[in-house]
Amino acid sequence: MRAIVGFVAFHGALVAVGLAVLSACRLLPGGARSTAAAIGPAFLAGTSVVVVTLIALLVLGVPFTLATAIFVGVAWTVVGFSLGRRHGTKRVAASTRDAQPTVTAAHAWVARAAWAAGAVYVAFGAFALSRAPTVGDDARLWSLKGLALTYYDNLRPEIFQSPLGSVAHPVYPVFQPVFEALFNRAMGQPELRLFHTELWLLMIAAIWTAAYLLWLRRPRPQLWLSALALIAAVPAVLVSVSGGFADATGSVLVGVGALALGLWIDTREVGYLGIASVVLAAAANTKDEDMVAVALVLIAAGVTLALSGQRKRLRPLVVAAAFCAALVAPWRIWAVAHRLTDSVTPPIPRALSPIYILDRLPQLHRTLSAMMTQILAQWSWFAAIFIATCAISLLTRTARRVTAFYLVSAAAVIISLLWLYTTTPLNVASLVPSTMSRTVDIFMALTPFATAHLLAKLTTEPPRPHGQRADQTRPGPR
Amino acid sequence: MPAGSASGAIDSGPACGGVGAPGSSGAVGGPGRCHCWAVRPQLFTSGLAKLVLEVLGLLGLAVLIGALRSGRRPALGEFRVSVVIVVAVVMVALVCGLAIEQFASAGSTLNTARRSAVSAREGVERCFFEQGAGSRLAFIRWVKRQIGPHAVYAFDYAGEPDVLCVYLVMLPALPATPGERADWTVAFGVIPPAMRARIARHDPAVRVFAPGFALESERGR
Repeated sequence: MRAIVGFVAFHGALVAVGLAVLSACRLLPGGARSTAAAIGPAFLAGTSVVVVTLIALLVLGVPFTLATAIFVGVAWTVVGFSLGRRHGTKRVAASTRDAQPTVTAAHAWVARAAWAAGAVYVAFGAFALSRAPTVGDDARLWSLKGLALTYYDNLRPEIFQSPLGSVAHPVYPVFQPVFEALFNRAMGQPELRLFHTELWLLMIAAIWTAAYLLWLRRPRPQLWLSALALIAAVPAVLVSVSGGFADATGSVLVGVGALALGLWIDTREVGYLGIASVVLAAAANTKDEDMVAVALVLIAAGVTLALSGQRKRLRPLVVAAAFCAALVAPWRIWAVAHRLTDSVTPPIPRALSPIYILDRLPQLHRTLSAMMTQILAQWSWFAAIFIATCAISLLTRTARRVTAFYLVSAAAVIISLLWLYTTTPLNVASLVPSTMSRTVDIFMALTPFATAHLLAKLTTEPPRPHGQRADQTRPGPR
Repeated sequence: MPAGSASGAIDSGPACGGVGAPGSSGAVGGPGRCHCWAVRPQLFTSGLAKLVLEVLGLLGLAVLIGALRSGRRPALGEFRVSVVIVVAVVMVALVCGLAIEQFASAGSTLNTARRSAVSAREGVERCFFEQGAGSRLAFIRWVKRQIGPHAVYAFDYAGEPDVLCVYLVMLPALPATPGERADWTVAFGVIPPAMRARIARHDPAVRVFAPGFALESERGR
């Protein structure tokens, strides 16, 4: 009974916090239907802000307890709804072309059938993963720390500064362990098996969030939703979730954050930037490579805006990046202060030298081959669809700025991973086979989110004639 | 930085070869499962060529349908609109087609996970079985009963599984940090000379579980 109450209260509380965050971001239109549609995004947003805040407090020495979590949740809820109330009726506006949905009866039935099938799939996944064992890296990296935080209210040096640290990646941020410990505490006992279901629900919430953010602009039912739904069916993602790895968690968070940034670049609605900063902060607290990806996505957004003559919009972007950095910094400072190192980390500054990289061309070639193999084998046509969609967007001048943002982001993340693998002091021959299958998730998970956004634009917006600027086809800044 | 497999780095955990293609049941659930897809390696150039062909195929199809739809050589503006619509439809159709294929595979993967369901205790202890150390679990369970929760222990350790797996199963008891005084010393696979001498003296502070496996109380010493 305690577990059932705990499960319901845990999710209800996080959704309440998330609704406040969405309200603060002006992403919560009034009405019961819109609020119901926002449950998934609210769960993701609530989880993101509560967990990253708890990480910061944990590092500062505040005891990690359920009471602390409740305090954090209440604080965010009050702040969020207060900001939301201050904004009044200002909300993200639907695109004028789609403000009045035109839905035929057949269309509605197809949509209902698709939603029903999706709900059955999600429920089956939740049930199937609810009793999965704790194995592999989950047992040694994530759940070990999560269980320690379930039993103890601080970063026990026996676990978090273990002498075996170089193998257990002590530098890795603790979004997933803190989330797991919070879940266990809410349930009243360690629930390592059920946490697999929680990871599944978080991933579904991320996909739901992406659909919601797009739906806010284009309420008309769209088939591009299938591009998002596909993420929940990618074998690599399923294996990651069922194995309790943080790879899928971090990757979909980066993907949703990038989509929100893309929507902000596209629409100028600052609410999208707000939710992007929250989700990207969570992503950067998940794994090291996710932190690098978040930094690169933010830089890509800045470069895109700067090159398209929108330097005035860099200021809110810098504020969002500073918000992310403030929530990432505590763990990083703690790790540096405790001299935690990772055996995978390239030797900097030597690893930045072109000569050093040229000396390691065989590693680069091996990494490239493995990366390409994994992309094609696990992610099927995702890469081709993404590239083709981007090409059409660029050729038809439909959404060139946002397309450039997605392309630069993906390319930057790929290059950063190639650099990491090429320069790591570890033996690439053993590192690549055991990790590449999960590492490609970081940029490949971004592609369906970007594709969905671009498809939505391609199917609803006319191409821009030559010589016409982006500003001339859109409403002015809000 | 890319996460090296902790299990693979510490021990000789399951190798990553021989698992079926993506979507096969071999990768999810069950003891000793592999955490990476075994995909036949191919040259970067051949992979890149395949990707380029896929992209060109998509674009070519879109252009062809666009030309057929217009029925004449359209003006640039008309053609652009046509291509946008057609490509979007083709993309969505492709995505839907992929969805059907992927979800069938995904359902199978999830079903395999469902069949590998374990009890709560087995779920935590499964890492022992990953490395064929299941027979040593009885000793760890016995140790946990002896030392109680929240004790601090030190290890004399040999063999499987890796230490991090033992740390997980031993929680909430904690391993002693370097320089920290432990409440208990656990001989796990090998008994150190000092403890062996105490066993020979029938010291009551030392409890022997099996040859090579013993527990010594450091309290009161």
